[in-house]
Amino acid sequence: MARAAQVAGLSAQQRLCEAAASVLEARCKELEAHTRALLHEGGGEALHDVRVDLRRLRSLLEDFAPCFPERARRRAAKELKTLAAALGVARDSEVLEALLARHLALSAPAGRRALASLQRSIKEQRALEQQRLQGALAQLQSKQPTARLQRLAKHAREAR
Amino acid sequence: MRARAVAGLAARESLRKGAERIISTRLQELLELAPLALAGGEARALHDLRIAAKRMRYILELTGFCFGEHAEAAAASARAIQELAGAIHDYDLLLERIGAHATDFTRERGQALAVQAQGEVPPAAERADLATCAALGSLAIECQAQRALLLAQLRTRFDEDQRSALRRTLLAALRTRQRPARQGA
Repeated sequence: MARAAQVAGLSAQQRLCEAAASVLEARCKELEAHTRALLHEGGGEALHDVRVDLRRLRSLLEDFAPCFPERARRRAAKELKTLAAALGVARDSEVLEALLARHLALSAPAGRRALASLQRSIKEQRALEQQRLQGALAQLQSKQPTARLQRLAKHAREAR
Repeated sequence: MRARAVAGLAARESLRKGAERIISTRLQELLELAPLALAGGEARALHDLRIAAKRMRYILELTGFCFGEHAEAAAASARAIQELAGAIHDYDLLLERIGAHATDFTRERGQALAVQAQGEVPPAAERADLATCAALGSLAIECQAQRALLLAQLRTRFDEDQRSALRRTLLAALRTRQRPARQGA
């Protein structure tokens, strides 16, 4: 799993909400970059990266809650959770396919033949989830969660 | 599982002071969830433990520079817990899928046996059915064994010594008094 990029300029003595704003802005940029990669690649590592970005953003909103207006924070967190869940199903089917393939690679040919129907059904499920993923990606683009998050960052920076 | 609110966190305090409160809260969550998850090895409890480890890891990766190298060690520990619990989750997914497939297959096999009772099943189809039964059973056993191994590794990592090491490491980190640190400067 990728480690998030360090956020330049953070300091231990900095005001908590100012730091939260800087991190939120940096994580938004990462999400935007990874979303572009996912639109281009359609799955795999890019899908994993976007899911991790969403998870990190949710953690940030939970950890630094007092820095943000409560209603807007809750709404943003809920939106991130919904998007992550939609992407999670597609990711699960990728993981399932890879895990089964790893086991099959170690099986005797007769075992592989016998499990062909299981493998086929998992592939079919993955293809279906890939179609649903396109819907989730369209949602990710149209809802523009980063615009909402940038507003939260602005609020945190101005918080007294 | 919703994250616990961090008591006393104030918008105007320093990042270091706030991070201390957040890390302490997340550590408490992790340590409270561990006994149930590790004792029973139940999927839901392990999922909650994985999420708690993830939250812990993220805040440590973000603010660890305020607390020195101990925080980095604790972040690595949280990451290892998260990864082991994640690998168990992957096997849970596969086992669930094998179970669903076996249910479908059992129904089809029942229909085949009904036809066989009338003497109409060709031997090749019968052999293929039996091979599939055996292969599904073997795969499920293998997955259960791998899952058990991962759970044992997770327990080892999180046993009493490890747990207190994680706690000690973090408390030491939180007590470390460093000169004002900057990240990425």
